[in-house]
Amino acid sequence: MEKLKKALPVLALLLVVVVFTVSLFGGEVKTSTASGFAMGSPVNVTVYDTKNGEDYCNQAIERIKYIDDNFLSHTFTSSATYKLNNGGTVKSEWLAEYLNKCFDLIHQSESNRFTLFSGEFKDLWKIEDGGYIPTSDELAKVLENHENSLIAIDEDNNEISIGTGKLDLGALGKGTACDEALETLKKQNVKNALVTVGGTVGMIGSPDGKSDFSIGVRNPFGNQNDYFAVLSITDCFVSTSGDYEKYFERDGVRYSHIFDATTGKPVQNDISSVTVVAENGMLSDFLSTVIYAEGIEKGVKIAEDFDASVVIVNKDKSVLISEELKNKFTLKDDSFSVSVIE
Amino acid sequence: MKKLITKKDFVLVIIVLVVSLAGLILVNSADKGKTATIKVDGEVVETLSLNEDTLVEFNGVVVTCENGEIYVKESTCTDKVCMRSGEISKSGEGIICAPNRVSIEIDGKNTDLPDAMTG
Repeated sequence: MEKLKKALPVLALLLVVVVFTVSLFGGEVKTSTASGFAMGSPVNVTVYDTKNGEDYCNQAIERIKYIDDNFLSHTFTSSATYKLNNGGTVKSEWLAEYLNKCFDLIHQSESNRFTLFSGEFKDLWKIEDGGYIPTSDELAKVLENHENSLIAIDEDNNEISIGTGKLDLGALGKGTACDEALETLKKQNVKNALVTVGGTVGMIGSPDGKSDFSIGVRNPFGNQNDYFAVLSITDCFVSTSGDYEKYFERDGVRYSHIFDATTGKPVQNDISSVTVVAENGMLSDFLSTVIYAEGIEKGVKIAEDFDASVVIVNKDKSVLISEELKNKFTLKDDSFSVSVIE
Repeated sequence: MKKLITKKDFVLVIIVLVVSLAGLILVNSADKGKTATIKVDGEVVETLSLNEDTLVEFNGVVVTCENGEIYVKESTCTDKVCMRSGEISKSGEGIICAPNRVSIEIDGKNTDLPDAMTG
């Protein structure tokens, strides 16, 4: 009995030690992740410090697949885009609303180089199939089709039909997917989450309850894992458009997958990549493509009009960043020279 | 009056503390050997050990592991972005072949890397 009494304080101390050690090593914020494939890109959803996190991640991925399968994919025969491109009509409130939003964005940007109907351009130039330089006749034909790519949306019953162009919502699809995924998570009261669809990222809250998310900005001259800078940001969406992934080269000229609707040709300018931080994913996706297509001068003005921030990398490795990003941008590669947009 | 905790007890506690901490550190740092996870359509199809030289193929993507490094040796895709990605060996690094819906990632957390990448 005397021995037990003597041992009690020791046991108590041991208990404290054990609890302390467990909390030291096991107290990490619990994260849940799920991954999938949609919009032609890998999809990753991470939820921080939430019960049933894994369920929510899967729900978000299901939502993205639903949008891709039914509306945006131009390859799945089940999608609205495919049906419209093949002479069919589509009745959908979601798509009617979505297309109207797209046209509002294009209108507001005053860009005539950006188009939702780049489908035929892509097919003609075989960007994802080795590349081809079309003849002027071929180009003229496709441009004519593009001119007549009129879209009709019946306001009463949401019936949609298109003209002779080919719809390609790829430029906005990944951002839209991020929007939909985060909406799904917010409905479940998730406060901290990160969604990536290809190179488009959407985020809310914080990964650890303290700091912002760190988002690497791809080095357009390096491989998939190279980033030249890091953005410390949260509660926003970020997208990048560039000439370094989908392209082909002929006689030293690079032909990328982003088209100038006024010429029917791949965009040619000084820009290698445009990264945009905006309040929603559809907008960040749209802006990165528009700015890339319009070039620096007009592009910077468009970003300001939409209250978005940019990181623009030129082919000579000079980098322009928005004033708002000055304190959120960390350069990791000294071969780039950075200046802040006045 | 008898002391609640004697010198001997104190020594015992310290020893237990040191041993348990040492054990934990050992368990956490033990080199279990790096692994890489290959996914098709987001579903895990293979886990490779970087210690073993291997070649596996999924959906037209030939993944090779040599000398602790992984790279895509061949792919049926047209853009060949995956093949241009070179070798990966650090936790958190990855290669993606979007056309063939294949992704390869070295397992483990790497606190040096950003939370995500744009581009």
